Amino acid sequence: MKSTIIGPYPRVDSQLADCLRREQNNVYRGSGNTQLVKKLMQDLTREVVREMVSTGIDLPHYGFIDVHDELTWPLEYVNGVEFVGMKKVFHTNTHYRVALVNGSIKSRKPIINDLYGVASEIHPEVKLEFPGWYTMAKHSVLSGKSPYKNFVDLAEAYVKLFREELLKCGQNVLLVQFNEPSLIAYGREHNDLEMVPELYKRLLVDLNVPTAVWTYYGVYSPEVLDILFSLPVDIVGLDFVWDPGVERLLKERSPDKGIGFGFIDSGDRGFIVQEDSHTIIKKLKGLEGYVDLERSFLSPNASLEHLPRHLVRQKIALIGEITRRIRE
Amino acid sequence: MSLPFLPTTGVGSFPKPDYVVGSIGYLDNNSKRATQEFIRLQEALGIDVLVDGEFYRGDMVTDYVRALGFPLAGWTRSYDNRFWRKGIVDKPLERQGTIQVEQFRYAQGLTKKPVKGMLTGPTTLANWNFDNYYREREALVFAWAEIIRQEAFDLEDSGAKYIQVDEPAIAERHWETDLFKEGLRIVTEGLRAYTITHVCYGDFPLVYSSLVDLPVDQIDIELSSELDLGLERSHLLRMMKENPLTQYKDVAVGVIDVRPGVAVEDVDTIVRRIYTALEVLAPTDGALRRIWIGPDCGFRTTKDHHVAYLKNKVMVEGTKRVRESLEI
Repeated sequence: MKSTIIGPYPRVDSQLADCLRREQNNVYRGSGNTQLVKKLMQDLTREVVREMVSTGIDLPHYGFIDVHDELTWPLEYVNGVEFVGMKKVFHTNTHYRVALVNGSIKSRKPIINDLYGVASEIHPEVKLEFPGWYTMAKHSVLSGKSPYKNFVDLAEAYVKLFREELLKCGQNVLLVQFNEPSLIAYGREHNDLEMVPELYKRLLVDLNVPTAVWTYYGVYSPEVLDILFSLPVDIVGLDFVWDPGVERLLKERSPDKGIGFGFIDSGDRGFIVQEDSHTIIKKLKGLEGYVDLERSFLSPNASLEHLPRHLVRQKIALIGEITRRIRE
Repeated sequence: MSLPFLPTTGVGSFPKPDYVVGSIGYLDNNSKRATQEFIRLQEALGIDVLVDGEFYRGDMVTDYVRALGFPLAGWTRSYDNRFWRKGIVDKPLERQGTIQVEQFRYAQGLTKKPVKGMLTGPTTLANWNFDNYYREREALVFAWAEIIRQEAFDLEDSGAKYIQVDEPAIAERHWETDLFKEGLRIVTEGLRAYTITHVCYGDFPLVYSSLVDLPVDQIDIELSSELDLGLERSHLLRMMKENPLTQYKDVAVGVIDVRPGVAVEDVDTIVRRIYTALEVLAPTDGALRRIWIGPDCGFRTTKDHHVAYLKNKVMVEGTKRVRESLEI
C-alpha cells in the first residue's frame, strides 16, 4: 500500500506563500510582476512537494498551488472556452469558475504545465492528476455558438482533449488520476452514468500507464459501485468519510482493482476529525482478502484545502504512518 | 425615506485603501477615515441605500468567531487567491457583546441616506467554520441563528432601517433548505426593519423553489453572469421567468461582476443586463417596482480601489439610463 493525496494542497501559511499571495494581488491591481509570480509558484511548488514527501506521502501530485480551482484549470489551456462566472457546485465554500463552451475544444498549450516538471525534480515519483471529463462536462455551459449540442457531445470533446494530452506524455508516468466527484455527489441526480465506462475506455485504450478514477462527496449505490468497478482503470478511489457503508459493498464485490481508501477526513463536512490510526489499520486489515492492499492507496477523502495547512501536515503524517504500518 | 424607481445599493465591502492595514474587527481611526470617504463616494455617485465598506474586517466570518471567543483554525481557500479564516466552535455559542452594531452606528452617523446594517447569516456561519462542539447541523444552525437574532435587534434599536443577512452558503447544502429557512426565520421574525438576504455564487436552481418563501423582504442575488448568458442558456433565468421572484418579494439584481481581474463594464453592458433582468423578473408594473440594482457581491474581491469606484459609477449610470428610458 502507498500513501497519496488528492486535490490542491493548501497554498497558504508560509513565508513563500504569503509572498505569492501578495504579488498575485499586485498583478490584479496592475502593478505586479508576473515573472516574480511564476518564480514564486515554482518555489512554492518545491516547498509543498518537499512537505508532502517528508511528512509521509509516497505518491504526491505537483501541489496545484497555481490553479483557480480544482475543476476548471485544464480549460485555461484550450481554445473554445470562456470563464463567465463562478459557482459553488458542491457543499463547500469552494468557488469553481463557470466554463462557457463557445467553440471547438482544442489544445492551445500543454495542460501538464512546467510546475509538474518542477515537482518531478524534487521527487521522482509524482502522479498526474486531472479533473475528470464527466465532472468537467457536468458543470460546463454550452453557448449557442458551441459545436456541441448536448452533454454527451461535450463529454466526448473533453475525453479527446485528455487523450491527446496523455498520448504526448509517454509511458514513464507513475499514475494518471481523474477526480470525478460528480459521479456520486450528494443530492444530485446520477441518471446518465451508463456512458461513463465506454468513454473512459476511449480515453485510456492502449495508453499503457497506470490509471485511477477517484470519487468523493457522496454515497455509493450498488449500481454506481458496479459501474466504477467496470471502468478500465487500475485504481478506484472511494470516499469512506461520506459513506462508511461502502466498506460492506466493497467486501461483497471484491473487485479486481486497487482501491483508493479515502479514510482520512479532509474537513470538507465542517469537522476537524482526529483519526485514530489503530481503527483505520483495523479497517484496512479487515479488507485484506477482499481487496489487493498492495496495489491500493490510503488518502484523504477529498482535497485537503478544506483544512488549514498545519492540520494538513498532521493528516498526511497520519496517512504516512498508517501506510508504513500496513506495509510492515 | 422614499426611494426612486430601481433603487441602487451595495452589498458590503469595498477595497481597502493603503492606509488601512490588517483586519482588526473593530473601527480604528484608519477604518473610520476609510468609511467616511466611502460614504461620501457613494453619496456623490447617487447610490440610494449605502453600505459601510467593511474596512475593519477581512472576511464575513472571522469577526463573529473573535467576538464569541472561539479559536481561529487558520486560513483556507475559497478560490484563486481568496482565503478566509475558519474558526472552531468548541463550546456553546454565546454572545458576549455586539459585533456589527458600532460599525453601523458610525457609518449611519455620517449620512442622511440609509445605511444597511450588515450581518452574516446562521447557515453561512455554520458552514464556514468548523464545528467541534454541536456535531449536529440543526443545533449548530439554530445556535448561530439565536446569536444573529440578538445582533439584528440591536441593529434595529440602533436605527437600522435596512438589515441585510448575508447567506452566500444558501445552496451549498441544497438538501438542507428547510433548515436554512428556519435559521433565517429565527433571525428576522419580529423585526420591523426592511430585511434583505444576500446570496451569491450558488447553484441556485437547486434551491429556487425555496427562495420564494424565504422570511425576508428582499433577496439580493448575484446575477450578472447569468444575465450575460441570457434566457436561452441560463437555467436559472428560465426558472425566474416561469416563476418570477418578484411575485413574492423585492429582488436586488447583481449587475456588476466583482470577480478579480474582470474589467470595468461599459454602461451599455449594464443597461443590457438590467433589461434582461426586467424581462425575466418584471412581467408587470408592480413587479418592476420590486426590483433594485446592485453589484454581484462586495467589491473587496476586485482588489483595486479605482476599479471598484468605476464599477459603482457605471452601475449608477446604467440604472439612470434605464430609469429615463422607462419614464416611470
